[in-house]
Amino acid sequence: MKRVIAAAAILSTFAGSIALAQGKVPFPVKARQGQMATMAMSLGVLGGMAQGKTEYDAAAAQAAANSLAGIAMIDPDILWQDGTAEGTASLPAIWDDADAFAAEWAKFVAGAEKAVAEAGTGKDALGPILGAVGGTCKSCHTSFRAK
Amino acid sequence: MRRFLRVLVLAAVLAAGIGLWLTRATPLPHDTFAGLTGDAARGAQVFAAAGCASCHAAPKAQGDAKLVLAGGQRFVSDFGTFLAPNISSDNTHGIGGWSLNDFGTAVMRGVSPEGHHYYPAFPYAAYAKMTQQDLVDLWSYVQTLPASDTPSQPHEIGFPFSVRRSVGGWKLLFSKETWEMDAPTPELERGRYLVEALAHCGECHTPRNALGGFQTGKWLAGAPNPSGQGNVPALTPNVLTWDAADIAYYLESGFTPEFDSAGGHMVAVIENFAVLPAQDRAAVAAYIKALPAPTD
Repeated sequence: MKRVIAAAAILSTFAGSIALAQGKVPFPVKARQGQMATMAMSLGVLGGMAQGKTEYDAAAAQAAANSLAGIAMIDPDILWQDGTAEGTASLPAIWDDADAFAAEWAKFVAGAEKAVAEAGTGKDALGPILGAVGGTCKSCHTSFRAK
Repeated sequence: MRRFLRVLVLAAVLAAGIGLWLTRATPLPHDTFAGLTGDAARGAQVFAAAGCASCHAAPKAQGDAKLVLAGGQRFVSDFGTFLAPNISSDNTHGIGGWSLNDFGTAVMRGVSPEGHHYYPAFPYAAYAKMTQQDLVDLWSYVQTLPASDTPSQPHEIGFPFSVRRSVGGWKLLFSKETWEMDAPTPELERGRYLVEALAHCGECHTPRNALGGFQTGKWLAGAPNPSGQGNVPALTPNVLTWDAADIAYYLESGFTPEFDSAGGHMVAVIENFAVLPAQDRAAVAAYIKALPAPTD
């Protein structure tokens, strides 16, 4: 009997680690990766127009800016829950230096607000928007992302 | 027997003498910059391209505070932790009391005014390829920057690297006066000058051997991050597939073609490139696109 229990314990441990290896990514991690990807794609719309790769389209630019604002409304505490750093690019400083991280997030929120106010006003507005939002990407990634 | 011993001692003394002579710290000849006049405005561009403030500003300095070169940032390596010194215009704690030749000897030879070797965490092996005019302009500019009385902190390194003379051996083995790549057009030549000399890209993007020299045939082929976390990406065509416009835009904005953004020390590099003329970013991009694939 003891042997059966031991075998079962070993098996279930294996099963657990296989599940992890197969990508049982915790929801908060999935959510923030998706949120970052949406952020990048929205900025890509604005960046493509700013670089002249695509024609400026006020409605599409406004929609991309609105997406950024939508992301800015997500509570970062939901995305960066305790104990979800393992195996991700999120640095422990996010939790250890929570005030600084919150300040970086607030800068992104301000950048998104600028984008909403100005993206639809013309192509020339896009450069400064990308500068403002991109600045918050870089400063946050400097301190809080492991690459 | 006695004669043999005498010869042996003589040979040892001779070998030590040759060793000391080979690893000595040599300043630049005193008339190196004779006849050149510095232009501080041009020097500001050299300062940005060379990334001086990125390492010598105080830790976490922002905005104008980055022009106070108080030092104190820590650089972790396999050989120990190096602490950037104060190079502000302060007479006691900075380099305010230096001559132009002291400055040139430090930047282009890695030798202090007292005749000691600097550790190559200071990228003088790249700056050695700087033009004399750029050096003189840079000196004119850094003298205009504010003074700070923050004392420089000692490096945290163990034996044998704590013996500065050993750096003389490093220089002997790894100093290289030739360029890494041919540059047949003026744009490639400018790109090469920025990448190989001023911006010292190879310092992080080229892998090193056990003694801290660049591995041959692996120029800009990517390397482990000295901080121990992750890798510094390869810029060679076997890995980097961005087109030249993508590279130039990344150096200006920090955005990759997928609109991910740069992080880590590269952010400081981008802030420097962003203030250079667009032609300079295009020249760097052209150089990167012309890189050969690494060899084994």
